[in-house]
Amino acid sequence: MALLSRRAARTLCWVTPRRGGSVLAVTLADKYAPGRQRRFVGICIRREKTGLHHHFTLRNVIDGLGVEIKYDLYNPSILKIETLKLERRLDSDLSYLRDALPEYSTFDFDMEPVPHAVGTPVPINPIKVKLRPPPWQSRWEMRDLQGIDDVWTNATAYFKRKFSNKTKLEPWRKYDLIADYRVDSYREDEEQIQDEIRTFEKEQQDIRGSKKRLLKSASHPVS
Amino acid sequence: MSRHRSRPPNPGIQTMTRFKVVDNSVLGKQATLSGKAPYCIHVYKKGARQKHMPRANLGDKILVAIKGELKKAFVVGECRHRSLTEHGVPSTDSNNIVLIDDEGNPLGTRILAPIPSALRARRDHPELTKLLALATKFV
Repeated sequence: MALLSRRAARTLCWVTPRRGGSVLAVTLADKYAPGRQRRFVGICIRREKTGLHHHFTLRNVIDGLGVEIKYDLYNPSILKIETLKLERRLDSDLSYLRDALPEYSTFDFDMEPVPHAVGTPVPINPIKVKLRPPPWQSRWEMRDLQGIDDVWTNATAYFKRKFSNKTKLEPWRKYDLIADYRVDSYREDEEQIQDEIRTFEKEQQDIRGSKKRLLKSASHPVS
Repeated sequence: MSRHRSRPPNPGIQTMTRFKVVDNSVLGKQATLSGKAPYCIHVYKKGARQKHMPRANLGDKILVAIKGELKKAFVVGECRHRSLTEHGVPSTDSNNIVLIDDEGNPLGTRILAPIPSALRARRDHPELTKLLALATKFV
């Protein structure tokens, strides 16, 4: 029951499954802080693992210094999770914000929550961030990322020459449909798919059954 | 080094790791302006293993080489690999230090960057409290 109530407090966070891009505020119990709690505001750049191990990472730039904090979703030290701005970016993993210009990950701690009507779809923010010149933390130009502006031009010439025959890290990924299904499946879609599977199996069963009956009647003809 | 990386994975803070000085001490400012960042040459930790392969974490005392001098410092910000981060402990983009003198008093009078709140739980270095008194922001 404790787990269920804890999960109910985290409902807002579950609205965007497996996608980064929302601006969240997390209040954490802290024994040494003045009010015995501290609050951090940031953009959700990463959501990893499933079930009880699920954790998400918030990023913000404070006084010119980029800060990232990972939170375990079901850790009891989390007192409150607020969704200040519910939206989705073009990518699910926004780790490249570490190499982007600081204005893309700067958020005010006194930010007013942007209201979102219940039942309406989560808006997609089509922003394309600009990266600072390399070296980068990872080879972003090799990945299939939509949210970076002109990534191939800014990449290091050495790597462009070295891997010119191979321009993507996972070129087969767009054909892997079941991976898409694993990453973001919505309940309505799942129910629809389950319905389709059920009707299909029923039809097949009927066809097979009628076929069997036909064969049976053929082998033992009733006079 | 892997084929698909532009840099090796983050090895943590060890000897020769470069730092950013986040207090307003004159020495730190000069080092920042000259473009020669201070680097770690020793980590004050007990035990044979720690002496053999010194590795510093958040709140550890280290010895740095800065502008041709040896200065002691505290690690107040650590850039950790994403799989090594802990719940609620911030990982900053750069490795940050605050310089102290031999008595353990900080060289500057102000800390210009947010300080991880996890440092307040450290009890092994009494000098750390002097440093935390200068901090303006905790994350």
